[in-house]
Amino acid sequence: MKRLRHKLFTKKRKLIFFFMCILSLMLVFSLTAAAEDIEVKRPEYQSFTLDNGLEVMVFPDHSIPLLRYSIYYNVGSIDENEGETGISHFLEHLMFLGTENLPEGEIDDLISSVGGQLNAATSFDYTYYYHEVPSSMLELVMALESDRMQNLRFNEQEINREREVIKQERRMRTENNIFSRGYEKIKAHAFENSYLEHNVIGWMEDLNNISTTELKDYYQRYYSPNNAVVVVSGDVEVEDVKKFAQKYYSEYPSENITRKDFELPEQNQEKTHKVNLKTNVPYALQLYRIPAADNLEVTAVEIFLDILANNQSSRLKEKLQKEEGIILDSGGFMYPLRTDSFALVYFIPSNQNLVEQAQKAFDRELEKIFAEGITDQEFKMVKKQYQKSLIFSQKNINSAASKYALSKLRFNRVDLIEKRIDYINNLNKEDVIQIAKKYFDKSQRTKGYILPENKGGAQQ
Amino acid sequence: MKNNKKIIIYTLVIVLSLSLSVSVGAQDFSPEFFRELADVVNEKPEIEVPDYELLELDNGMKFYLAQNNNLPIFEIRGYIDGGKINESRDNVGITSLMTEVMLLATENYGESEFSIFKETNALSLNLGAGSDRISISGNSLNTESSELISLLAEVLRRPKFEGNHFERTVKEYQQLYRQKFYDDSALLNMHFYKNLYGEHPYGYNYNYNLILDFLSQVDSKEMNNFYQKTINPEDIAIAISGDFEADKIKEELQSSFSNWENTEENLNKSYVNVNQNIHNKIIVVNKADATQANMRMGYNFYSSKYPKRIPFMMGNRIFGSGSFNSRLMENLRSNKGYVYGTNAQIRYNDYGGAYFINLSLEPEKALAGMKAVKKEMLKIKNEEKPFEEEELFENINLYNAVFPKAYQHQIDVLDEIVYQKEFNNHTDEYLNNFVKQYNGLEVSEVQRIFAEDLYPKILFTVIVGPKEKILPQFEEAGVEVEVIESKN
Repeated sequence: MKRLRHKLFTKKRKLIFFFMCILSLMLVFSLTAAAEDIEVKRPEYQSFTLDNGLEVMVFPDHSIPLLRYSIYYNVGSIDENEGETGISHFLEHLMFLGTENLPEGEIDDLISSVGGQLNAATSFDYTYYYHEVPSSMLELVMALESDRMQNLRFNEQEINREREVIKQERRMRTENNIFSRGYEKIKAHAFENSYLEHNVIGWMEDLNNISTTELKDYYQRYYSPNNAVVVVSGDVEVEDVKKFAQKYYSEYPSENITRKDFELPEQNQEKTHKVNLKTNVPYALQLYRIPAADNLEVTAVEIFLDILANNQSSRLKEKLQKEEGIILDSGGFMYPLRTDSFALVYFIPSNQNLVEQAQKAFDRELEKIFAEGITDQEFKMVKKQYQKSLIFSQKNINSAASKYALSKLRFNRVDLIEKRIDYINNLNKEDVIQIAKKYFDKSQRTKGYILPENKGGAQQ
Repeated sequence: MKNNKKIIIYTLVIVLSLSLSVSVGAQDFSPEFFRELADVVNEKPEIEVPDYELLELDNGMKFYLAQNNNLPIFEIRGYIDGGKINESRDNVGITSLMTEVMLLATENYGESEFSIFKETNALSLNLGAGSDRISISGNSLNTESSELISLLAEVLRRPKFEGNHFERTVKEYQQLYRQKFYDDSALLNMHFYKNLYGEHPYGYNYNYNLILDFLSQVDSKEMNNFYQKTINPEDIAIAISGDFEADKIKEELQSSFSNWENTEENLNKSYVNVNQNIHNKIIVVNKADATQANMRMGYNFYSSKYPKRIPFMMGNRIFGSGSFNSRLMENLRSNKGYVYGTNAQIRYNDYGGAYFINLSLEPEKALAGMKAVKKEMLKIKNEEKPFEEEELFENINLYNAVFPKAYQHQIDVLDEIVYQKEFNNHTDEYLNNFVKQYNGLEVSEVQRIFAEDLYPKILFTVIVGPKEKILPQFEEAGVEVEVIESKN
């Protein structure tokens, strides 16, 4: 009797336990389901287009009395021709030297005098200029950028002096940094004879030779209203932006811009390139081709890179770094552009003697993930991180504004950000692997190595 | 008829106003036109002090809590008093190694479990080993605030120093420090700071040979002892901001940290001794493969207690903020085209700071660059070109414009309050007092104070670059330099 009671009791406890498990599973499921659906509030903005094609986007946020005025031109290093590499960036420097209406240094003095800041950046596929100024200075910055769009001054002496500054920038950022120096050579080999062969800074020989006439032609070809997007974010009223856009930009004519053919040469087999430099630590780089940024599969590639190389619990870090101790670190990132582009996965072998072993282990991990797929946990993890990064990006209206601006500039679309979120919500882990297999194929890869010059000289 | 008249008048007004607006078109741009538009004096900003609650545990650990429901996020920032200053010649680099290992595994979580817990919950947590303090920063979504607190407790209270992760990290650090001998910026740091700070933890920390010596013999026992001595709850203050329930968070903090006991340990700290032998000295570190000369010129400076920080800071902005209109940039970049960028920096530490100018340029122009920097300094020192009213106004105007942005987020304000209250004895109003002080500066005062502490005649200079291209110009000018061969 006692035994039976015990059995019943045990059974009852088991049943309760069973229901609790079901309940907890349901709870986990509903919580998981809620967590898995990424939802992010779209920033409020308005946009309009002038008759000459200038696109304007306004993202009001009145939390502080500052505004950011940016103008993006749809031109970057991929648009450059052989012999004129670095010209987009060279032109960016000239934009600070003065116009037909403003002497050298005056643009900076004006912005400084109002307590503002200005700067610019050149990328593979765009060049942008921005001002961060007190809200009352909207008209000033719109007028200044309007002047720079049409009236840039080309003074031979000033250009030659700025040429020296740019050459020093190249020495500082590329030539005297082991990784950048090796990476420049490896990428050039991977994308030889294509628009991706050179970096934004350009080759030194071209920097020495670019002429004033070439700079002027380039400016006239690409700095036109129909090749630009203006983005104003912060403490600003849409009506004011409309009024000043009309006043300062509407008279400029649009230009007929013809672009070269952006097609990467076909690659059917893996390439390898080694660069020997004065370094103790070797670097291994794997370059792959990816589609243009409006292809939603790029999002799956990004997820794959996190699982493969970026996360602290990524495959490469878990296996090659923590378990085998044959690499010091790993990572992966992409350069999504308006054209086909590339992704880079790197790992740093622990010493020169382990380069080959680390490469084999990398290939093995890649094959394993293709064969076995990714786990639910890995997939959940990256989606959670993606959601978090989207929510944190809302802290700053300027960062959201620049995402929308680039989408507009590159593809004349603003729905890409929402489409990407929908895409992730409908993506499953099998899709991620299928897409990764497509782009991380060995025949499409260039393996590059930055190795110590003196073989055997490396310390372990 | 009356209506027609009205229509005509209105039409004329519209046409006239349109023609006026068109007349201020692109063709009419001029310096005067732009200057008229650029007439603004920014208001003195007022930084809102968050309505925070201070939770002090019996063991002395402090939490400053401020709610903010703007976004569903949870953020922490904090400090552990004591950093690399606690190191000696025999254990240089131990603080950085310790903080790295603390973030890898704990008594309850193995290395893999630790990273999975962190990433599954999208938690971010970092420790930064500074000269006088270890900084803490972390964040999560509001739904994972409990997990972040639990992770923080694991990292601070129960780090595990024994195991593969420790051995591996030591090896990784060895490679990292060996690589520094191949990097021109790292070489510049090493030769500048180890000479400037000499026999002091601030100097040891840039002596990569000393760090490598330590790494070759450190074990987990030594690491654990150092942890026990230096990480104590009474030395920790943390700012917490975000979307949370105060009572729940306080309860979690109490249960996670209140039974953590302090260890009694007095660590000796001393001020940097100024080594006058390096005054006016020039060292060339030969890096044959470099295509530039990477340079730093400077001298020992005051500690963080320097009372004239604000006027000196404004003077230094005029001289070398790094923006295009600073004196150094105007001369070395805009006029001469020598550099891409150059700036002057003040580094304050609790036990002795540094003041220095950074520049990198073509190796053949190293001496010309040095002379240009000195000349700009002398122009201020000798009042040959004293600061102008307009220069000071521009910098104050800039600060007034950007200050609200720098402290736009509650966590940034709270972080500053914690730091200033806990380590510098300031009040909650520190930021607003700072604004008041720089707004009250007169140009004569800034000129006098900056010139007083500017010493162009004692500059200690380190140049990293190819000696074949650097030395001839010094030989020709009869300037003595010491040459050091880099290891690579």
